[in-house]
Amino acid sequence: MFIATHTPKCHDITRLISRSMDSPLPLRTRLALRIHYLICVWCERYRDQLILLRRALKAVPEEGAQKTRGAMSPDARTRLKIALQPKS
Amino acid sequence: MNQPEIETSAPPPTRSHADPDRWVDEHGDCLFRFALTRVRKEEVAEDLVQETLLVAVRTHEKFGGRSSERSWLVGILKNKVCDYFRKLGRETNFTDLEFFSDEHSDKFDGENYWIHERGPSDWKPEGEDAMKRAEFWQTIQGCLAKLPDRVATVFTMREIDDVPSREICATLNITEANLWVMLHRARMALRQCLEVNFFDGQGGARL
Repeated sequence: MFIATHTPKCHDITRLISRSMDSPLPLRTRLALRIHYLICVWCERYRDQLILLRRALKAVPEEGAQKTRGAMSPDARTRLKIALQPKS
Repeated sequence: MNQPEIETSAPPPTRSHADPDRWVDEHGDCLFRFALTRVRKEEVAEDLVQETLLVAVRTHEKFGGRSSERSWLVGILKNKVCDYFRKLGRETNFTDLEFFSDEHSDKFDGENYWIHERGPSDWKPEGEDAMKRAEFWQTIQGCLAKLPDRVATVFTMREIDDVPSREICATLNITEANLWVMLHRARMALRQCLEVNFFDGQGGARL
């Protein structure tokens, strides 16, 4: 297949997708990705899923922390208060 | 009586004396969670909160109520977390061989194309719906906890705190190439973990 042999392989594409999330890619590389998505649903999914992951991670401090683990232990709280007492 | 000079337009500080006990009660959990999300170890998070409040006790006079008490404290904590990462970057060399040796090679064929039945599956429920479920967040936390420490540090700075690549490299003293490899592997591992433990686990159909 012409396209398949003229765009990077999936393994490289996954690396480029990640890279594009941290620094701008050259135009040529961006085009190569576009073309690759036309023939490869897996890489397209991979990209969409990384984007979803990024959105979810931004919400982790609020959503995640509140719904899962929450608070300092009572012991920790006591230790903290003792450590903060003014030394006189 | 000599009043310290404060901008008259700013609202007067509601409380001018240090009150660490109240800070612990009102903001302790929030600060602790903030730290824990980033450093992942309870002991370390606790230490960082303590250091933060000690700084607060020393500097509360300068604070003067310009922002809310909580964002003032979180601001101090951010610096403490950053110092901690900087120290970590000096003390460890930033690789984790075991994590990097497994390049998910079972998912690609000899020519480095996806093996179709092992490639990314079609995630159901879709994004928005998945994010409404508590299990989704639990799974993400669980998956994050499995990342090797140093990879998690880098990944958290980049994805949760949105620190630019260059700044992460400078703080941790690593090269950009090294950073990209770590982020790539972290994303790949996390995507995989979420797929196996949340999406496929729900009986989501594989295509």
